[in-house]
Amino acid sequence: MQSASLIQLLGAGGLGFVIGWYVYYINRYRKSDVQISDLLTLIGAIGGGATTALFPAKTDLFGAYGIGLFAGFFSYCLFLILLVSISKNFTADWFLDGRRKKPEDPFIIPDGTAQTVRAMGGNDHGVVNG
Amino acid sequence: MLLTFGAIGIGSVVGWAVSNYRISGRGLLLSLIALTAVAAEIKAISHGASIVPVSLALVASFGLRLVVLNLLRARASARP
Repeated sequence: MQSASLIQLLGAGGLGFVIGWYVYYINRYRKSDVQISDLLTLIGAIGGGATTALFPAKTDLFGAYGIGLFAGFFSYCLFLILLVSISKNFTADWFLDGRRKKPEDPFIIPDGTAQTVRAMGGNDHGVVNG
Repeated sequence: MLLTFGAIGIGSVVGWAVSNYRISGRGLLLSLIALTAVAAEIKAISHGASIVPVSLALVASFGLRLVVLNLLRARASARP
């Protein structure tokens, strides 16, 4: 087995972190229910041919990538929890149904702002918020 | 060791994603079938890591999401 240098491990972990963060982001802003094909696409994206080409099997590079993926994905979730906990406009219920305080003047939610329609629980349309 | 931890990390991410499938309104049986199908895929991409800890991470992450969700719901419904 070929050993990897520290900078290579950090690079693989960093790439995994970015992909993990983005996977959570895409999942949070998706427009429809999850299908089984979506899950298989996700697996292909995070561990498919491109990853195999970058990080050969049974190497520490693949391990560093997976750890980075985990860190990036769950960091997004932790940041959401942190932001909700320090905000006066959101409570934990936001994770269930997306509820929040109605903004009062001078605050507004501009038209075109992406709706955070996925969190933890289902809403009236059977989908999840955040 | 690093390889195993990495594969566990991937399993955790995918387990969390599969829980969305359950939360989107699918039955538990259908979700478990999806989980099994995904576990087979995970084995293919685990790149030599042991499948046992990866599968445990997959199931743990799937279950954790549902437990957290149900705790939040219980807390919300208990509120006056």
